[in-house]
Amino acid sequence: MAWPSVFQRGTVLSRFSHHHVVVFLLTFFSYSLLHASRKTFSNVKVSISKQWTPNAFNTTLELPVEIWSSNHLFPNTEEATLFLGTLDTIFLFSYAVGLFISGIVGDRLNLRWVLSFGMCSSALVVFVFGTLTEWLHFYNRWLYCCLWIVNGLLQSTGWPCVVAVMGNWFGKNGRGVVFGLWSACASVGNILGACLASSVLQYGYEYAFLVTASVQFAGGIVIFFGLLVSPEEIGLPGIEAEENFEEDSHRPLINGTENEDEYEPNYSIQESRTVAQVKAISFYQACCLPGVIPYSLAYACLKLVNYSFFFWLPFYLSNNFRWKEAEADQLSIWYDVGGIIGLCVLFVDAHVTAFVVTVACLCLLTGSPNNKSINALLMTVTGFFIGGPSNMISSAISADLGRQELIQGSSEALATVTGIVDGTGSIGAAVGQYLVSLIQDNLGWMWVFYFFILMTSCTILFISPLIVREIISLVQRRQAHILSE
Amino acid sequence: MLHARCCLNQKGTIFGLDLQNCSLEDPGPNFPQAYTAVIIDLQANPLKDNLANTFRGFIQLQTLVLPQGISCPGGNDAWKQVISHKDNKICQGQRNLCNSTGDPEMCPENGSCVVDGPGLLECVCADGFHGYKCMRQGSFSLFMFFGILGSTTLSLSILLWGTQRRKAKTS
Repeated sequence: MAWPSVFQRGTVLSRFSHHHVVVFLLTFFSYSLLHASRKTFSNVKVSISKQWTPNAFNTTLELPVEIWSSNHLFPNTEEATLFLGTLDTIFLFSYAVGLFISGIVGDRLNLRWVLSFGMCSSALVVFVFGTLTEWLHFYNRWLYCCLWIVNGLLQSTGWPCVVAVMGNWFGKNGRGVVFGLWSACASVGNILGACLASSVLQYGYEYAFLVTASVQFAGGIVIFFGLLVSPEEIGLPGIEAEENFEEDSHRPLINGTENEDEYEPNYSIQESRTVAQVKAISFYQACCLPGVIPYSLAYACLKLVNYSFFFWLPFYLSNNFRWKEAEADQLSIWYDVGGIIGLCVLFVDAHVTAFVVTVACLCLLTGSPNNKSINALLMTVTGFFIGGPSNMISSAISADLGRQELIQGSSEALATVTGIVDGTGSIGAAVGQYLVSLIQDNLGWMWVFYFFILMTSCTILFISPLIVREIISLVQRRQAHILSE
Repeated sequence: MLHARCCLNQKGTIFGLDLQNCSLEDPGPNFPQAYTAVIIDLQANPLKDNLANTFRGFIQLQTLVLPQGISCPGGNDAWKQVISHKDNKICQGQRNLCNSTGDPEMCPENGSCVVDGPGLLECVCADGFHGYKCMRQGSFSLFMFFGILGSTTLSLSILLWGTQRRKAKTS
């Protein structure tokens, strides 16, 4: 399925000016930076929980209090871990809520302002959260909670804005390829965050926050001075003008490179105004569409596992194998590398997705030897099978669902469906973070992995109707192909 | 240099302390000030036999003269030599117990064992580490970081403003 896009690429690329390239890079890196600062928190979990707790080391020697146990925010590491999980959960919840708000806000204000405000202000919040509280030695759990809620809200401005800007510039044409490349931004951000954090972690966790927050702040400034929100701003023809003569509602559904033309349409705020309002369906109707609920649940399970890895992998590596936290951070990069590779491969052929998720279970099962290279490999494979599909599924599946005959051509309906799928996914991910810390606390890490396996199995279970349908349509297409010859 | 019952060195720190026959039941609250002492004489005092924490911080103490019947602080293992006389007891030469126990994991991560008086050990940050729980190493160069980041941001902003937004219509 890959070659038609390659064929098109020549014509697509020739239409791209240097403005397109700059917009691509700016949006890519602005979202990467947002993700990097999100990732920092998961990279410093070990340090931060040590910082919050008194010493638990048993020794006959005298341990001077001011060095070893002057901080009593939490009596022990277990409770600190539970609190870290709670912070992840409230972050994801406020992020989900924020997505709706910032969609509305971005619709009314200049996208460039919203994006650069979001980046700079969330950088400041992260700075206060991680650096200022440490410098002042002021540890308070309610302050942490409040700051993380605000951070979730501010971080959520990023995604709708960058997607809208990308939509303004790249439209539907060639979006498959461009958006395919572009979707790697989250994983690239994770890698960037892990690199930044692990390189300064030896100076103290507060510097990990300081560095990522400062870089994000700088990114916000660069966005403010450099981003062109839409081609119209410099007098180039808008994307709708070019697209009027290209109707594409009958393209192949989930497979291949071209399925991204409805990429997260509920977030492409400004664009949706120009799309003809065919008919909207109610939330209830959308839920009743065949497949919507299974896919939502599948996505929720998959996103839960993916985000658990995102939030807990360095912590797990460092705790379980007694590796230095900086090393654990660097190794956790492999998960994202796997995610990027997975994403690239899946863009060529999305069918494989569902089948190979099974293999991830095996990886998880065996994934505990205390050997860095084996672990890196396992993480890459797991990232490939969990991270890749998770990035894909929200757009691919919802686009697939939205193309059902009942709602075809209605972008409103599609937005509703995508909203349901994404919303369920976010809730799943949010609840998962608390569950992971709870399970880890009570039953140990092994059970966390059993939990992941259970969730992955659920994903496969929910997604199996899709696989069956895909196989049938594949067989039918093959027969049609033979007939035509 | 002698000053009352103290023997001071050139800089005025206590070098020796002669408290014999002072009717002391315990050395008193100001005793830790004499932590630099190398020799202390406490004989002929009605001391209580509980000196374990009295000598915290006395890391230079080499000779301690105690009344008979009082055991050396930290036990006999903490001293190289314990000589009992008829009316006193001399504890001679502190031993460094950090190396003698042979257990390398006596302290938490990044901590290291140091002597804090006769028979007293404590964990402080190992060389190069500092901060709470000795988690930090080295110091971050804020000036350099913000210098590089600031200049990069400035030049990128100018470059992008020039190439991208200069022609933009302000709507």
